[in-house]
Amino acid sequence: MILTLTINSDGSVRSARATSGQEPFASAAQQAASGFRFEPALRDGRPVAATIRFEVAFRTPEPQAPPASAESNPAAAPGAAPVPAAPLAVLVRGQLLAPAVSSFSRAEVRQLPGAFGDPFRAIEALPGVTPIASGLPFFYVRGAPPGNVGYFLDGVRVPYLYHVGLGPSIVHPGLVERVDLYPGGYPARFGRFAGGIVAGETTAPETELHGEANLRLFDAGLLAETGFAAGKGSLLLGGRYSYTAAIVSLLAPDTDLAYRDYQLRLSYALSPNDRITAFGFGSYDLVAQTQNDIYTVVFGSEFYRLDLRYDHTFGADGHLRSAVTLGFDQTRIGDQRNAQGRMLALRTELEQRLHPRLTLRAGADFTLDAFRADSRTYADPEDPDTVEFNNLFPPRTDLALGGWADVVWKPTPQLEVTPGVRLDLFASGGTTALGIDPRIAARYEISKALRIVHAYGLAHQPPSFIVPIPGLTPGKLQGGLQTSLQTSAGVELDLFEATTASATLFHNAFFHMNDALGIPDGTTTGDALNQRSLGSAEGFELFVRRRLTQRIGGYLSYTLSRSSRELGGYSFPSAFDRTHVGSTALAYDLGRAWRAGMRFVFYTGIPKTTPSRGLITPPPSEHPARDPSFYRLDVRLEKRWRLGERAWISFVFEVLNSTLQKETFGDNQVGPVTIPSIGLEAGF
Amino acid sequence: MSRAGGWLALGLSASGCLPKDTRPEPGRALVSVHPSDSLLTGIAAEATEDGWAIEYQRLLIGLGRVDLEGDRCTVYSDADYTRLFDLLLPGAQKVSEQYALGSCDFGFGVVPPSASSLLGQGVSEADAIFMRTPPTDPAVSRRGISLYVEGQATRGSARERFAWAFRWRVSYQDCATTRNGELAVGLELASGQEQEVEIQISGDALFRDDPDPELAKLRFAAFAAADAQSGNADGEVSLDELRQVKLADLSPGGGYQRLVSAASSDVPPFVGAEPTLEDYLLVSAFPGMARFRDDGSCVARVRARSDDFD
Repeated sequence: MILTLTINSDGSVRSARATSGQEPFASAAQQAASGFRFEPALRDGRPVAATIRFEVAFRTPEPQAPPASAESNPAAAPGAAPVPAAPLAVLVRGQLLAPAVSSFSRAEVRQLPGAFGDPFRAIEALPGVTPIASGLPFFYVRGAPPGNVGYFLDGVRVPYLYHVGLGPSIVHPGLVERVDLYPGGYPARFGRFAGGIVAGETTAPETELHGEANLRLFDAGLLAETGFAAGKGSLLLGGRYSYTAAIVSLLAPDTDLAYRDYQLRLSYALSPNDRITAFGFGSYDLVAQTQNDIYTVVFGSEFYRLDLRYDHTFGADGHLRSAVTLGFDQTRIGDQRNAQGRMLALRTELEQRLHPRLTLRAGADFTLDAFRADSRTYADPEDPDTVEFNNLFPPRTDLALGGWADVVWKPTPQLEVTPGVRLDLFASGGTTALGIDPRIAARYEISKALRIVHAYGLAHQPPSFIVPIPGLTPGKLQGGLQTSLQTSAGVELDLFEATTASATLFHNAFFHMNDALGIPDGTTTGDALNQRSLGSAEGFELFVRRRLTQRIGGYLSYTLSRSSRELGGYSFPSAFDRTHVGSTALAYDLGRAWRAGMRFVFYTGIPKTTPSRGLITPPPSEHPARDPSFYRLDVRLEKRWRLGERAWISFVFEVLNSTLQKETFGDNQVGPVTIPSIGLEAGF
Repeated sequence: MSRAGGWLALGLSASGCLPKDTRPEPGRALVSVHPSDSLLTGIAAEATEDGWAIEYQRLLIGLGRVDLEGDRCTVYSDADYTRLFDLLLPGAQKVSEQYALGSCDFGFGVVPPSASSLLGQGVSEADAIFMRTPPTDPAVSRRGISLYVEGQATRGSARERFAWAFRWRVSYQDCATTRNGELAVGLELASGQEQEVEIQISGDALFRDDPDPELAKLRFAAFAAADAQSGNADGEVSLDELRQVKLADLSPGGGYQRLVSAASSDVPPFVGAEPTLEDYLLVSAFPGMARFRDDGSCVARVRARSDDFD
């Protein structure tokens, strides 16, 4: 790991950026380097600022050995050398990323135009991700519909990650360490979703007082964390509050628009190896209007989670986490009634190094979901929509019991193989189903800069709704589990400084999928939400990336794919199949703490459909005409001021779809969906 | 219960922060359809100008899409489904029930049934399949049948049968009636109150010779002549035969001619420059079959294509 450090004349580190190496080591090394102290460089006997290259070496901790150390390379830094009397020890705990996963750190996402600093919004930049509509954070991932994409935060299942569709993510960005997208063939730890997995990891508890705040046109956010009990405990409070209601009320007095979220984390180290944590978070969204003095909720949803964890580390060799999660989900559906889900989940996860080349990971979890929807007080009981809804979402309690295990095995220094299996038993409405999901992933290092990556896996999921909505999960397990067979093969290449490239071929096959969104209108009759189909997706992904935190950073992401469905003997493209999806971004440090960036997003149109409600439905075309392509340009400009040694404040201007492009669906032009953001961010 | 158990119970019984439903109780409108006497008992020879007696033998109609709207109307539910009715059965049958509050515009539609349409009294699955089957020529329509009538007309020894499938759709909007001499538009739904809204299907409408019911006389002669004189004289009046009869050639023309002189904006685009008797049947007579509250009226728009009206 090579860092480029700028050393102040007093020996403190002004800036640190990684010029080579992978995550999570790059971020960890950068973070650690900011606390280094050096003997300053001298010019004519006077201390001056200097820039040096600094090597940080990570090595696998040996049993009973001291933590991994960071070694300096004084020879590479003429004019500046670390203080030899104080050996530097840096302990970094982190997982080497699994094969075939794409990841963004929060520091990088801050620089991504159009993501508004939200790590979860950066997902759409990754290859394999096909948007439904510009700005709408619901995606197809390698052909899997939004309802098959699972969202997790610290291993806790959440229904979605964004406020009111287009809004910011539901946790403060400062709390998110990293966001990973597993488009397929993911580790056995993840299950119960037949599509991709979006997993966010929160920052580790910190005992030093720190915080972040942001004030934008539409909302304000705050996050603060401090230690207590002589560093044994830490308390974090965070949240976001939207005052859009006040703004919207000026423009549309009858409309009420609100969103807010909160995060609370209390962590306490019982011993050097034992820690208990309570992590609570929640999200609330509301769109309402008043007409004729009657207040009606147009859309409302909320969810809350309380995760109580116990973590135990076995020295440097292993880690055990056991947790209980309580959850409450609620969505306002038609007729001003609510659909609710209450969750009780237990999980335990173990990671244990059995041998320097063999690590075992295993876990078990149990989830109880109780669903209930208010009955329609004012509705025609014979209305087929009412009957269909009641049939699809009966009050019930669903159970899921799962166990999983995999091993990370390095038979040779160049080869890493991760075979695993996951078993899930589902019970709902008197029906049970068993999912057996074998997984295997491998990474082979051909040379120091070139690796081959393969990932294969089977995944099962109970019936899902069109898009994930809190408390709204279909209860049609008797129709069987949705199944996907996920395969991918690719190469990873380290290019020049801090630039990597990957090229991947993938093929996913879907069985029994209920993708109401992907079946074109008119193709199915009757209960469209419970229609089962076959599906497949094949494609090629290219991702070239120079980390956006570099002086010049950027990426190029491109996906060529075809996603199709098979129903009633006909094969046709998925309703949201887009042949080409690409985006590229460039972020540049303009100097004097100015940083600018822009992102160009392009994708081709979805298939056109001709709805028909007659008895004889015309067969869907295998190669239908398509809507026009869409492109947009996102821009970002930031000016940062440092306030003292640790504090900073930034002015940020950002626009998603700055060129006001409209998107075409069928014969309708939508938009332009343009989201401007102007505000201040600060931290210490 | 332990303290932990109490917290658990509290968590699992949480009701969230979304606002409660604070709306006042709405009014309820029960929409029904019933046949006119002429559908059930036929039209006597004395009731027609030309002495033809007309009798209906089968009548299936897809009806629904009930719609309440308006700035002063707060809609609580949108039961816009459709049903397939056999309206040669006496009595009222339910179309749907609606919940709203305030002054609401009222509309409904006559449309081909869909797979999710409910079946009215006496209607079989076979009837539904028949009505949902589109014609073999997609250029004519991709839709099923919104109204199917079968019957016969007799005058002396002359007898003409008819079996007409109407694939066009009719949207009825801004329905109004006259109450105590004043025009009452739509429905006035007060909290907690219930009112019945009747739609009548009239057997007379198809054989009126004028789009204006006040001026119209009942006639069948022009239809009979379309088969017996200009058609194939097989004793059955077909829509194809009516398509060959230009309204301008009819004698006596009577009110039929009003379609010829109507402004182009009042006539659907599928009507040609020289309207035919089939056009008249579709554009003027067919939409007149459904009446709002027996004596009311609606703005009726005939749509040939499905995508105009969903």
